[in-house]
Amino acid sequence: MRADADMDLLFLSGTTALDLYHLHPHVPYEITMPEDIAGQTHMCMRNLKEVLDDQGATWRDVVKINRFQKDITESAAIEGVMAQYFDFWDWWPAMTAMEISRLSSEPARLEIELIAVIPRDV
Amino acid sequence: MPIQIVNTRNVDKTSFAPGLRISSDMDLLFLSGMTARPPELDLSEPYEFSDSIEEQTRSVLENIQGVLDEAGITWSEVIKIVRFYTEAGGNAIRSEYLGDWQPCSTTLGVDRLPDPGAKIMYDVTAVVPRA
Repeated sequence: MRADADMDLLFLSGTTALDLYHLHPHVPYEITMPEDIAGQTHMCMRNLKEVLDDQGATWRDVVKINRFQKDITESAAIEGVMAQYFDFWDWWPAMTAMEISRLSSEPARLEIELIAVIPRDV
Repeated sequence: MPIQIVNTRNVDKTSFAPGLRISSDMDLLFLSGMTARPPELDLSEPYEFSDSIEEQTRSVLENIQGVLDEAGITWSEVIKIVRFYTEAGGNAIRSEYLGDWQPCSTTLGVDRLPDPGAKIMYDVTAVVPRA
């Protein structure tokens, strides 16, 4: 993915299915999320979209995605959900997926972080 | 503001930014993953890691401080921190260095880090304003 114009850079923190705004350290009563990976993926995308929307960016402005998964074999299911947001991969950012042993809360199976570029108003 | 913390809701309930926007031309500074091992120490040299996650965290932050100093920037120019840990803890020490600044943050539990004995590694991205 190559961005070749003057752009703002938008860095997003990694998000799991947990609501974007939560207490630190985490408190048990806030940690509610579906068990299934499709549901968790939708909730991750919801969280990311909240930040993109706030900055006037869209999924088409996303250039890089990192996915951290408890189970790498869930990649197909995750990408199946993500495809619905990326116009069935009509827009396909650079993407890295890796399996890791722990995420920020016990039930979380997926964390996504991304970088977007936003064209500057001239 | 050239570096703008994105808060999507008018609430004060988070210790990091959900997003961060860079809106002027700045150099990007990418740091390699930093453990408690002093960066000037050759990787072939033995290094005794502390058993304490707090002490290791302080060393990590001091090591990063050295790189920031060399680049002529402060923690307020750090835009992103990815923390890889094998043992949780040390968050309060991070706050000592970051103060009120809230860079983007991602935290990941891993089975092993590259240096045996290391319990925490920070991967930092910063910007350097152009003169």
